[in-house]
Amino acid sequence: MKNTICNEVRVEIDERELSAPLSVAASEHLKICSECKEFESKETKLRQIAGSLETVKAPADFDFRLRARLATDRSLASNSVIAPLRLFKSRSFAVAVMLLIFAATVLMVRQVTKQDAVHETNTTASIDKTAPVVAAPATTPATPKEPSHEGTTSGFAINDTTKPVRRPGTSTVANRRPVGSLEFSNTSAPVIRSEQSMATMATFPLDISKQSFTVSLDNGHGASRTISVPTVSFGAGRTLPGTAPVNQFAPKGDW
Amino acid sequence: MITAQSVSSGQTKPAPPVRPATPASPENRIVAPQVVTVLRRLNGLEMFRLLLRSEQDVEAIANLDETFRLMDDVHTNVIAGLALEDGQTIAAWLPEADGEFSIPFAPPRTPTATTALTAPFGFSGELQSSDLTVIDSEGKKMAAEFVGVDGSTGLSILKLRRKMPAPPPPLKEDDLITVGEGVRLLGPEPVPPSRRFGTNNLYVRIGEASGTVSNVKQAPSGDLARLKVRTPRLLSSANVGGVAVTAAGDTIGIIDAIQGSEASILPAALIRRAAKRVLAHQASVPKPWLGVKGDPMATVQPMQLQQQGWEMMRAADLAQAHRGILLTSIVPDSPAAMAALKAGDVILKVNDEYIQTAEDFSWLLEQAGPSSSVEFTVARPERKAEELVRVVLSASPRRPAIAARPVPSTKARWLVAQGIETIALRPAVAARFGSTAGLLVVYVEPASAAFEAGLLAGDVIQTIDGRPVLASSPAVFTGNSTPSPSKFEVVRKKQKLVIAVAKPAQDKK
Repeated sequence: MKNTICNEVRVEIDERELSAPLSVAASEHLKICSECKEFESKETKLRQIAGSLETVKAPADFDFRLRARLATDRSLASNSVIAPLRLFKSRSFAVAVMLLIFAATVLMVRQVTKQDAVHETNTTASIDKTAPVVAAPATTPATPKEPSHEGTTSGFAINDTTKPVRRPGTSTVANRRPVGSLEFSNTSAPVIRSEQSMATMATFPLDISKQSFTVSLDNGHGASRTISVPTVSFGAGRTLPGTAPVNQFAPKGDW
Repeated sequence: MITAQSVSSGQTKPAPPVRPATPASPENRIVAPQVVTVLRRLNGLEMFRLLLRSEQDVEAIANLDETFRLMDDVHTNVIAGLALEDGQTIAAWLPEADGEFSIPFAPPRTPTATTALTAPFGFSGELQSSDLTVIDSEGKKMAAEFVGVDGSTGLSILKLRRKMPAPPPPLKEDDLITVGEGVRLLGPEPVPPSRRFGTNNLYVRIGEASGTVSNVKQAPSGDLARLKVRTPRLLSSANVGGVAVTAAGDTIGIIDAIQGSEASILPAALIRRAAKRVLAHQASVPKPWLGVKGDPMATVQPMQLQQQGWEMMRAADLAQAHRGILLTSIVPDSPAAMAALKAGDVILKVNDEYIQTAEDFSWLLEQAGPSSSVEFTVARPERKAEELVRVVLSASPRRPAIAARPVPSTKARWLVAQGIETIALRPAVAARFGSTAGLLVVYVEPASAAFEAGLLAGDVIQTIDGRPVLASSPAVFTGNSTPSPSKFEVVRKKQKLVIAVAKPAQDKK
């Protein structure tokens, strides 16, 4: 009987908002159950640590990478993962497997929670608060946004992927998922470097000329002028000033 | 000039056929591996050539930047490309391909493995592998060769030196595209500067704008001729060349023009045909040429017809019918002139197909192709009955390299006739080339006598037949003096050379 009450109280502790009070029944139970009190204390401390981390920004091409990875995973899943699952034709067998996985997860959480003191030290030491962080898709809900055009000279919209990605512990969703919070806060943040971006992110450096093209011309009749051409252009903008764009809504009444 | 309004006034597909409109929502966006980035680098010499072929009034270079080096890159154009399913062919809208690359409209020949990898377009040795780089969706860089321009579509066809590791998906038939369908417009864009990349480096990625199909234009044959995509924001010339894909990632086409917030899309089927034409010739393929200027009858007033000799009643009837093209001028010695077409004639049909818009007329001529025979149904002011006129189309005349310049000098014309394009250097600039004032050679036609004699782009011509080029009388450049080869005294890498260039046959007479 006591175990049942303890479980219910711990579920409530798991699911409550960080600042939200517990129910009267749970509060009363904590007064008499030292184990649950200790559980509540560790949970609260852990969330406070996670919640105190500052907001970080997602890398600029996070959305692009995420979609690329999802597309890859989707194709892989259709070939490798889904096929074996089709073998689970017995519904009861599938349910049993799911329960087993769930139980194993709960045990892991308990185990990790007991090492709370050690984690506190590790967490603060391992996270570089100034570094941009790549959030794993499974733990961070990515919300694609409408394209934004700020900061670009081209006509294409840039998907605004600079939306801050909050660390678990600061959002409602994260609060309800202490498992994710725990793992994430316990792992050092991967820092994106430019060479990594070249290899994996389809964002590549442009090796453009350092030499610009500036030339003074004369027309042979005493008139002169200077033409300057930028070192880089995007799309079909004419490189040279004063010339008509090509093939704009052809034909032109000329056959 | 056809505007977006007149284009959209053409035939549109009646009802959405099969595929339901799919909005390009963020949830169902996927990566489009067929979209690549094409980098076209121009060095100083190529920039001079472009300058010479532009509409700029250029006679001489008076001064240059201190750091300028003729063969160093001075400009990079970044534009989207569409990788076709063979994993080696790229279709891209290189903005200045018509002026930048020499376009020798070569006769058809059988492509071979060798011709595919050499430079069949006759670039006099300057087009190097580094000039064209293709970057795939994973950021992998690959060298590419220019094969040719398709005159009908304006698309440049490139060939990768090596096949892409993962060939892109095949182009799908695009006749199921419907008005209202969500579209993604993809193309390279600069990544905003960030601490991560550093502020000094320019990074590029594939950007995206979303829109919806606003118009589906059919050709008289029923094929998809053009699509219009409307976006919520204004587009710019930077969007031209971008690839339009569906929400599912299937290719719709390439943006070939923009107007305000509307993009004109060249459909995938036409891209495939353009690539096929250019690859079959292994060279640029010209647009079929008739040699006329005209206006679609839908835009012509009866008064205009009367000025061309039409009776008032017939002019009113004709104008009301909104069919045909009124010819306003004929180019001498053109296919139209040879077929006795005249200004004031109205071409009503091509091969029994009625013409309603200028685009219809272009489409029908392009479908016929150069060197083909077409039959026009023509209404004429002096005859009440319609007439059938047969015309053999030719290849569009190659634009003379400096024809666009306002007043090409005798000297420039003579040199161009020899296959040589030059730009004069004033003394201060010539000194940097180790020369006195002279003519900088920016292009030498590969089939020309000058090319065979060894004249190269980058040489500075100081004298021809012993006379300084900048002080010579026009008689030197008329080519009528002697039948013997002209002696060009040039400076190459600060060393003097004498090159004997044989005169063309007509000059020897």
